[in-house]
Parts: sequence; C-alpha cells; structure tokens
Amino acid sequence: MADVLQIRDLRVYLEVDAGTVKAVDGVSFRVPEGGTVALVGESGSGKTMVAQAVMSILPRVARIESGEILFHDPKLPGKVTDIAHLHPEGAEVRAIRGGRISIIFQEPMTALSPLHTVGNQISEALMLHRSSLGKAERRAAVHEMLRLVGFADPVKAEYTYPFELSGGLRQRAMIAMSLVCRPALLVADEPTTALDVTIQAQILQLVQSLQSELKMAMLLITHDLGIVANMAEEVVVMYHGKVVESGVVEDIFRDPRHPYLKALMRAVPRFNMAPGERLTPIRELSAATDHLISGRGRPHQEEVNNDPLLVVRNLVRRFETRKTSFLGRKLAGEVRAVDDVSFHVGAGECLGLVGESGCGKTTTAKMLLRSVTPDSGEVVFNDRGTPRDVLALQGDELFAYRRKVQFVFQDPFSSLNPRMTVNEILAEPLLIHGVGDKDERYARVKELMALVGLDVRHLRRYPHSFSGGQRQRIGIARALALGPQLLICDEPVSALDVSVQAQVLNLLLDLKSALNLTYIFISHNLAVVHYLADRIAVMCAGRIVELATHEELFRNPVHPYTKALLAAVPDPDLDRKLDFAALMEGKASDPRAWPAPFRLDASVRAGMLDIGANHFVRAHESADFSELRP
Amino acid sequence: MLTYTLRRLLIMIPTLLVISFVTFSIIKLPPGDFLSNQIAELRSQGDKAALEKVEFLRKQYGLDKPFVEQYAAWIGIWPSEQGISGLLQGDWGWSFEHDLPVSAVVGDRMLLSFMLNFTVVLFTWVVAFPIGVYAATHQYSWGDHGLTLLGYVGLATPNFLFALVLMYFANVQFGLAIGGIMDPEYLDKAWSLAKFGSVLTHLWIPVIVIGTSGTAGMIRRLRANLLDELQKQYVVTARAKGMPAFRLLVKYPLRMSLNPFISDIGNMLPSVISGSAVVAVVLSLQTSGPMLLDALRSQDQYLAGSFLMFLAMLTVIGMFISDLLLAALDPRIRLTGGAAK
Repeated sequence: MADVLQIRDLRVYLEVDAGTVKAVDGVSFRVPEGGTVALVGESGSGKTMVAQAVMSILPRVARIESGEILFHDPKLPGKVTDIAHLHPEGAEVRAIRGGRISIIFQEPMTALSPLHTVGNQISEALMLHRSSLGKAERRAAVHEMLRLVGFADPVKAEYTYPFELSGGLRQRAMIAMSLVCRPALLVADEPTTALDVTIQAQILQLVQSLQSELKMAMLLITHDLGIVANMAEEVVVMYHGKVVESGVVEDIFRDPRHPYLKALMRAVPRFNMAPGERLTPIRELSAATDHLISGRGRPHQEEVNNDPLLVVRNLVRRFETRKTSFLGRKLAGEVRAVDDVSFHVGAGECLGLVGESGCGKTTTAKMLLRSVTPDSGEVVFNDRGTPRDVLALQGDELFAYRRKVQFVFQDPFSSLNPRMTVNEILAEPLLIHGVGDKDERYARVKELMALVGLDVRHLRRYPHSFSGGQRQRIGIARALALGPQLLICDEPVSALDVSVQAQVLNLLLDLKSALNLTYIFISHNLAVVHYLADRIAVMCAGRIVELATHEELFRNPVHPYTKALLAAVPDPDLDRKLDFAALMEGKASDPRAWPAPFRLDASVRAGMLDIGANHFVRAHESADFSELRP
Repeated sequence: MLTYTLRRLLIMIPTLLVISFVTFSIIKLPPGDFLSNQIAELRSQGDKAALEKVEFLRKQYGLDKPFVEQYAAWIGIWPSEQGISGLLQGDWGWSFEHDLPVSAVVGDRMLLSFMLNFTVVLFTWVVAFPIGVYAATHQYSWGDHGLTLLGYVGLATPNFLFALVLMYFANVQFGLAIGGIMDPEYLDKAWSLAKFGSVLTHLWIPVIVIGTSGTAGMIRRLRANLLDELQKQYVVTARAKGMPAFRLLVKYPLRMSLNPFISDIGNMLPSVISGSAVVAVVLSLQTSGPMLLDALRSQDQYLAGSFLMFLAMLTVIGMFISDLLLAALDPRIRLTGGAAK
C-alpha cells in the first residue's frame, strides 16, 4: 500500500538561551494510507515536535534544520509535497493544513476558542478549504459531522459554546472540526490524555470508527502503551529526539529489542501483574529508608487491638448551585458532591479511591483533612488507641491532628512555592509545629531528602530546577516531615511520565513498609491503584458503589460501573484489547442508567450489601446476591 | 440579558444617590460657605445694604438650613424656597460666584469639555490599537523596542509638563500661541461653522498632550494582553486549520484581548477629565476643568456639586456601557453570568 506520509531524516532544532537543542534528531518513518502509526515516547522526547513539523505549526524558536516531510495526497496521485521546505504561512501549506492533514490536540479545554460557537469553528475549516460550498451546504456538512462524532442534537450543538460542553464533548467537537474536510491524514497528539478513562475509551472507539469510515491514515502520538496496543498497527518509539525502535505492533510488544523500550514496558503497571511483582523504573532510585528518626519503626497501638485507623461514616457534602435573577440570587438546586460515603482504613493498609473526575473523591479527601466541612457524617481517627472525632476537633486538638494526617498533591508544579528553596519547603511544617531547634530541623530535612532519594546538596535549590518526578518526591518528603500516620495521596502520579511514575509508585510502596504508613490513594488510573492498594473503593457520582480487596475487585467485579471502568482501561497487552461493546455507550457513570438492582433514583433505598469475602456493592436492599458469591 | 440590563440600570440609582451624598458632604466639609466669605468682605467695607442682601440670599438659597436639608433640597426631594426643584427635576442650582444658574454657566464649557475628552479617547484608541498589535506580533523586534521606549517616555512625562514644553517650543520656534481651545474672538459667541473650525484647529494640541500617557498605557496593556493570547492553544488550533495569519489574528486573539479595552471605557472618562483639568489650566482652555477648580476653591457649592455629579454620571454610564458591551462580546460573561468561575 502506498504511503501518505514519509518523513526522512527530519531534524528540528530549538534555539534557546542555552544554545541549540536538537529536539528532533534524524527521525524517519512513514504512515501508510489508511493505516495507524503510533509515535511513542516520554515528554521531551520530541514526538510533539514531529507532529508540529508535519503540520508546519512549529513554535517560533524551532526550525527545521534538514530532512524531508513528504506528503502524498491520495486524491492527487503522483503529486508529492515536501512540507519541510515550504514556507509555514504560505498558501500551499495552508491548503494542506486543516484540509488534507488535520490535527487533534491534547487539551480540549483550551484548544477551542471560547468566544465562538462550535458550529462557527467547524464551518470555518470548511470555509477555508472548500470555499465552493454554499452556506446551506456548509451547515449540512457541519450537522452531519457533529452527528458522526456523537452529538445527539447537532442543530443545538452547532450553537453551543465550548465552555458549555464537558471535556469529552469538547474533544468530540474538536474531532469534528479536524475531520469535517475529510483529511487524508489525521495527527492525533495525545487525544485522550486529559480525559477520564471511560470517556477515553469512547473517544478511541470514535476515532477508530471514523478512521475506517473516512478511510484516512492516522499518526497517533501518545505516551500510553495501552492505547498503542489497542489502536496502532505500526509503532515508532522515540527517545531524546531519535527513533530507537520501530516496527509492527506485534513485534514491538512481543519482542522489544531496544533497552529503552524494554524498560518502558516493565515500568507500566498492568492488571496481570503477579502479586508482589515490582515495577522496574527506567532510572532506579536509591532511597535510604533504613536510618530514620522519623521512621523509628513505631509499634502501632492500633495493630495490637486491630482497630481501624480511620473510620468514615455516612459523609455527605452538598454544593448549592445558585441562579442569578432579577431580584438577586436564589437557590437553583444542589449537587451532592459526596453522598453517604462510609469506609474504614486499617492501620498499615492502603485504601484506593477510584473514580472519574467529579465523582467526589477529592472532596472526600479534603473533608478528612478538615479543609472542607461536611454537611453531615462522622470521621473517627484512632489516635494510638484513643478515638477522636475529627469533625469536632478544635484549636490545639485540630492542630495536633494535622500532624498525623498529611496530603500529597496532584500537581507537582503548583503545589510547591516557587519562591522557597527546598530546604525552606521541607522545614516549614516543622517550623509551624515547632519541632526541634534549627539544627535538629536541618538534620531532619537532610534525612527527608535521603528518604525520597534526592541529593542533599540540592537543598538550596528552588523547585523550578527540578523535574516533575523530583518535585513530586519533594512533595512527598514535605508530607512526611511531621511523621504522619496517614498519608492521603491525591493523584500523585497522574501528572508524571510513565517511567517516573514507576519510580514514585515504588517509592511510596517502600516508604509505606519502612515507616509503617497508612495510605488513602486517590486515582482515576485503575492500573496504578491496582499496583498499590490493598482494598479499593470505587466511587461514582458522589457514592461508593463497590468496595473490595484488590484481587477480589479485579477478579469478580459486580457493579456495572466497576465493570465499565475496568473495560475502559487500555491494557498494554495485545491479548487483552479493549472491548468497546462493554462501554455502555457513555451511560456508565449515570446512576439512573444502571440495570435493575443497582439503579439509583429517588424511589428506592440502596445500601452497601455484603456479598461475602469483604466485598460490598451498592444496590437495592432487597437484591439477592447469592448467585454472585464465589 | 434583559433582566441583566434592567438590574444594572436599577443599581445605578442607589450608586448615584450615594455618590451625590458623598460629593455634597465633601464640598461642605470646609468651615463656612460661599456667602460667609462674602460677608466678611462686605463687613470690612461697612456696606449695610449689601449685608442685608447677603442675609436675604442666605435665606433664599437655604444656606442657613441644616446640612441634610440642604442636601435634600439640592437633589430635589425636599422643598426649598423655590419649591421642590433640584437635580431630579433637572435644576442644577445657582452659581453664587457668577450670579447665574449653573446650567447657564456650565453649558458651553461642558460641551467643549465633552468634545475634547471624546476626541482624546478616540485618539487614544486610534493610535494605541495598531501600535499595540504591531508591538505584540513583532515582539522583540526593533520596532517593538522603539515603540516601547516611546511608550515609556509618554507614560513618564507629566501632562502639564508636556503642555508647557509644547507651548514653549511652539512660541519660540514657530511664533505660535497655542493656548486656548479657540481663537479669542469666538469666545462667548454663538456656535457657527467658523467657531467650530477654530475649535478644531486648536483642539489637536490638548488632545495630544492629554492623550499621550493614556495612549502609552493602552499600548502596553494591549501588547501584554495580545502576547498572552497569542500563546494560547486555540491560536495553534486555528493555524492548524490553515487560516491565513492576519485573518486569524483578527478573529481569535485580537477579539479575546478586547475585553480589557472595553472594561476600560468606564474608567477612562473620569481619568481623562481629571487629567485634563490641570492641562486646561496650563493651556488656559475654556473647558470645565478650570471652572471646577475655581468653584471648589470659592465654595460655590452648587456649581462644584453639579460638576462632580456630572463626572460621576459619566463614569457610571461608562461602566454600564462597558458592561453591556462585554456581555455582548463575550459569551462566557453572557451565559455563565457569574455562576461559573
């Protein structure tokens, strides 16, 4: 089959203050007509630069040093255009860009203009590339495209603004915009990274079906090997601007040759990992967990009498939405962000809290920290044998409680003050709680650095000089500074690359046993939770719908939402491809769309039913689960 | 949208009431009033008849009444000697100093002031817009650096100093007298084409003098806004669609960076007017600025009050217009209306 795109020895150089960076250094590959090629690599590997070079939308600091980007338009046989040698704003390139080659971006939130309607932005592409169309024809084409990408009411969708749509719908609008001119090649630059797993699966399914329908080729840029396994026919692996390995997807997954690729494969958490199997990070950390004052191998009282460390009962948090009217504001309705959530965390255990964005998992965590006040419910913290009612703590008692429960944030970039050195960041909790004198604090800070595998010599640096993974380790060190018993990790690895993710996950695993810590681990990534958690609570629409040990949950998921969630995770395994039929057509997260004993609405009472083996499911109280027991 | 407009209109009423109260209190803050100054003068001359007239006037204008009553009479919710007649009824009061109704004193000057300031705003936009766009799209080029330098000079030079410098050079180098807003022979004449022409030929100097700093500030703001917008992802999206560069610039980033421009309308009017007062004194322009200054100095309370109320009204209306324009231009403001972030 002929190739749509051939890239030959492409070099893209960046001119920055420090000199020239070879972002893309001699890359060659091809995209066959109608085929899918995945371009895989970590952030900074140059894969996005390749995409931008193909679109000739490179940023100002970048320039194509040498090489060819040959585009063979299937509609114009025999004509070859070398995009690399055309002026990026010239008419010839502009005719191809958006017309024959289109791109989908990672961030559906920012990629569309908020001031123009969806219809306007889609029909603009038509106006630019198929100017022969009349106004009515253009509208008809826009409607058809919107229907094709899954808008139930295309006429209404045409007049909506992007900010009125959810992330998944925005990405659909973006796809409609790129495909409306029926391009020969689609460049998808991390098209689903910013989306929830269930939405991701829907978008992947959509892209795949559209691809076969429109008979276009696709260059899929991603860091997620799971997506690669499910979507691609050929794979190109990039590392530091160079192609380290390429081939058909079977060869790449079954017989990886290059050490980097092998390492990458081992660094990804998978569902079929053996119990106790460790991830192998690409760069192993040397963390010292043996000589610790903060650790000091505390014998926990709780373990002796076997009481759980934290008990949460019937936690409810409502948010009111207000409507502005002529006479001021009035209550328009209320959203139950957290609705009757109960669970317990045993000492030394890791409880995973899984769910898509907006399901209330972060709100729950914040209530445990007392930074959000629940409307009702109870939280009891077992403070070395004395039960404390967390929600009633005041003044000094609350201050003391804060030492025992600490938080690791999702975003390693914004959670560290850029104007403080690492030393100041790590010493701050100690200072606030008046721990030790200056020397002792310094000793502790040094110890914390060793604990998370960072060089003590870097204490006087500022956060910006660290990489994402290093910053997240600083965040973990800060959380550990006061020697907490419970650590709440809110998506600690979701902003990190796969290789770094493995590093941080292993660190958390080691610290847990070394310091006798208890975790509440919040994530939307089931594979990550699977790797770390002992028990997993699945949350949806503010409620816990299923709670079980991690083996049980993955072996025997009962709740339809859990099943949909599990089905939606792309596993980096060619033998376990995504089952698009199990996605429930996007209704998985709507409690009213669940089948009978699970459906939640105002009419029936539903509670957590015990179906044996520490496995709880939210269902109607009259439901019979005898047949589900293993 | 209709309820929003109505609500905004209704909010203007209490706002103006509060402003009127504050204005009046501030005018009345210094001890004494316009007439007490006069009385002192007349006493020293021993003019009995005049003294009696002043007493009569004091009664007439209600200056012997308590503060609140005077205020209420001024805005027209309380009967004075002439019955209920105040701002609400369109009566701006009496100027003691000029011995004329305020509207007669102010009329022409207000019009000139308005013309001057409107031209300044127009000048600011017409000059700032293309320069700002150029500076942003050609960031760090020689043109950008040069315009930036010029902008800083404009920002840093005080208006009155610039006016003096201009006057000096015009006089010494070209033998021109550039003071005044029209040729002296047209002063106090009825409006005619010749008078209008004379105003136009004199207008450009004060417009440049008053407009420079505003223009410079606007250039800086537009450049910064536009630079931010040019980095945004949706610009790349539009480029990836194959849109020509200029069309893209106008449709997406420029449109986005308009918001601060529009929200500035409300602020610009009062700052331009107060800025022009000093320049008007220096250039001896027959606009409202110098008169306001005199009125405040001699405690000609109704004249000063009316001036200030007029300013306040301009501001409030300017804000209202800019809010409406913002809502019309930006669907995020129109549709989320503060409900979302």
